[in-house]
Amino acid sequence: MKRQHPIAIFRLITKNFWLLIFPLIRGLAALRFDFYTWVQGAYFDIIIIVVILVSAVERWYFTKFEIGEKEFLYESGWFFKIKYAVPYAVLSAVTTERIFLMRPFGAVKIFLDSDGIAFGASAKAADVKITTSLKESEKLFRNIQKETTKATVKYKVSRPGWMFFSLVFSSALSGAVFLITFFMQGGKIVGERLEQTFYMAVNDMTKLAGTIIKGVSPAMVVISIIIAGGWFISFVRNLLRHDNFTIARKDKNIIITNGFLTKRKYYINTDKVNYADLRQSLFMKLCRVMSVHVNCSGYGKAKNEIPVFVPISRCENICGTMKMVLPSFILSDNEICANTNALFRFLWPPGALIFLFLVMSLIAVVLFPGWSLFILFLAIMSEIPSTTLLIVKLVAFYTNGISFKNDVVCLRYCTKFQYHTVIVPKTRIAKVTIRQSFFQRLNCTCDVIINTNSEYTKSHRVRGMTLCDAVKLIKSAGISELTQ
Amino acid sequence: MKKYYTDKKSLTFLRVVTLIIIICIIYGLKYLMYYLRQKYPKYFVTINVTVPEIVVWSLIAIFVIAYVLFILIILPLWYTTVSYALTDEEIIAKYGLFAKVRQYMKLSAVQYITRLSFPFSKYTSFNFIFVNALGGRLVLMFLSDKDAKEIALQIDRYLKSRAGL
Repeated sequence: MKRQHPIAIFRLITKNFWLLIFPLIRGLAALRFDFYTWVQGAYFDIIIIVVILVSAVERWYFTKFEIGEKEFLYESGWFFKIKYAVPYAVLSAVTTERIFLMRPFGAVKIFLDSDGIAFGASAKAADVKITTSLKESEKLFRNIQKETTKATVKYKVSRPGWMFFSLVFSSALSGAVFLITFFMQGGKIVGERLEQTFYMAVNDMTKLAGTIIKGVSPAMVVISIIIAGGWFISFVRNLLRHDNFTIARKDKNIIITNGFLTKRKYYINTDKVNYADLRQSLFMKLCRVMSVHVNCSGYGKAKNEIPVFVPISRCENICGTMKMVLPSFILSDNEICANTNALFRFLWPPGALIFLFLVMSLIAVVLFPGWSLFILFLAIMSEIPSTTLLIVKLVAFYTNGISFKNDVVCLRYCTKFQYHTVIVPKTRIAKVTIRQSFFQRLNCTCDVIINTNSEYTKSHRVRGMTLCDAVKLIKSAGISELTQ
Repeated sequence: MKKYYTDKKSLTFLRVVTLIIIICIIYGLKYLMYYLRQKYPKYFVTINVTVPEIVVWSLIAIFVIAYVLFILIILPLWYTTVSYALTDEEIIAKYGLFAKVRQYMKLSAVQYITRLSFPFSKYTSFNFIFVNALGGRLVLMFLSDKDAKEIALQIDRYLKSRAGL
């Protein structure tokens, strides 16, 4: 059996190490490298750092693996020894990750995952996670695909096309979340300096904005910076993640490669794909573009990863790619749609939000007349997403629906601002729920909730269907022998 | 297709247990009032209706109303809506008083089941079956001892036959 690449020791070092090491080095520099005084003052922190390092080395030393002909063997620990074998036949996804900083050392991170959950691991974690050499990762891929004989079908996303789509459709929200997380986590490690730099930048920007437009408050600048910065970060992350995106099918296996700084390679077993999710925002719907995500244990599971199967492309291209890589996942038109009586159910939440923000703004203006300009800005900023949501839900009312054809279930629904077209093979359905609220019972409508096979509970809720139509459709599709 | 219903023994047990708990809470609150009267006699003599009295009587009223509303009215009505059915291919659960829920789980999707029986479940009918599938779970609640065993056995038999055991 082999040990992991020595660089794995850095991965095994906990976050607390970095929280301790920076203040310690700063302390040593402040003492002008007076080592003796430094050790006297910080001996407890030094002991903790040594313990963390020793523990990482110990974990690295006692973790071993072997890439066999038909299975992957894994062993870890010395006091509590864990040993298991993962047959390649049960693997749903294998991911290799060549991080930018690891590439000069020839190190590759490998994640192996099956539909099951490894002992002591959570559903969100991979069954096996190791860092090894590039040679070993290639051997693993060779052994997994040993029985594959059929020719490869390959699809490459055109770079200018998807760069344009990324530029237009990057989400400011996800970037803003990343920006906030960066400041929170970064602040923990490097102290308050990061926040101070941000405040200084805001101050400078406010002054600059003040010279161009009169009456700009710092809060407006902060919100604008967060939105613009969020969009920019999201765009750059999309660029770095999906550059060089190729998808190839070899018999039952799908191989996806992508990444600019961090090179990723995924192996997906098509038999283990639970569902495909064709996602669109309102703007994307208008421009007839979409992206495809798939749910397969192990694919896109890591932190900050998204299980993108095909990045943003034109609908026609996506349909062609889907036919090539997942031919059994056939898209079909709705057999049942939302009931007219359910229109209110779609529109009341965004309607209530619009009304609420309006009332709150009016009250705030009456109570704080001096802040009216800022309140007006906030009111507009909050009414824009609420009104967009109203339009999104109105469109969802017309597009929501279900169809059962060719042993495949096609669900069209909307969550928040996003439209989903989910294609599920009938065999991957775990549970069907028909739910009627008190008001839905009055107008004979219902929500159909379909749980698909997944490592964790994953449900798809199609709102506002006519009860008898839903029952009839599910019964005719042979999903259930249900009765009313 | 065989249908199963919640056992009324569990309802009676719930009624009795919650009644005992509420009586204990009321007794505890009354004792608290008695303790406060002994500790601060001057305060209770000078004021007719005191704040602690208002709080204690309000709490007692809330507990009694909650008991009557939930345990004596809503819960028995909810019990009448619950039914489970087991066919050769699927498990069906129907329940809900205000929101009506029907759940259908294919036996082919089931991975394993967990039967949870409380002590004296033969007399209290506190038997639960958790049917676990990849990506979903179905809970069959308040079953009689006999029904719980029968359902568990039937699903277990199906799982064994599927595995070829």
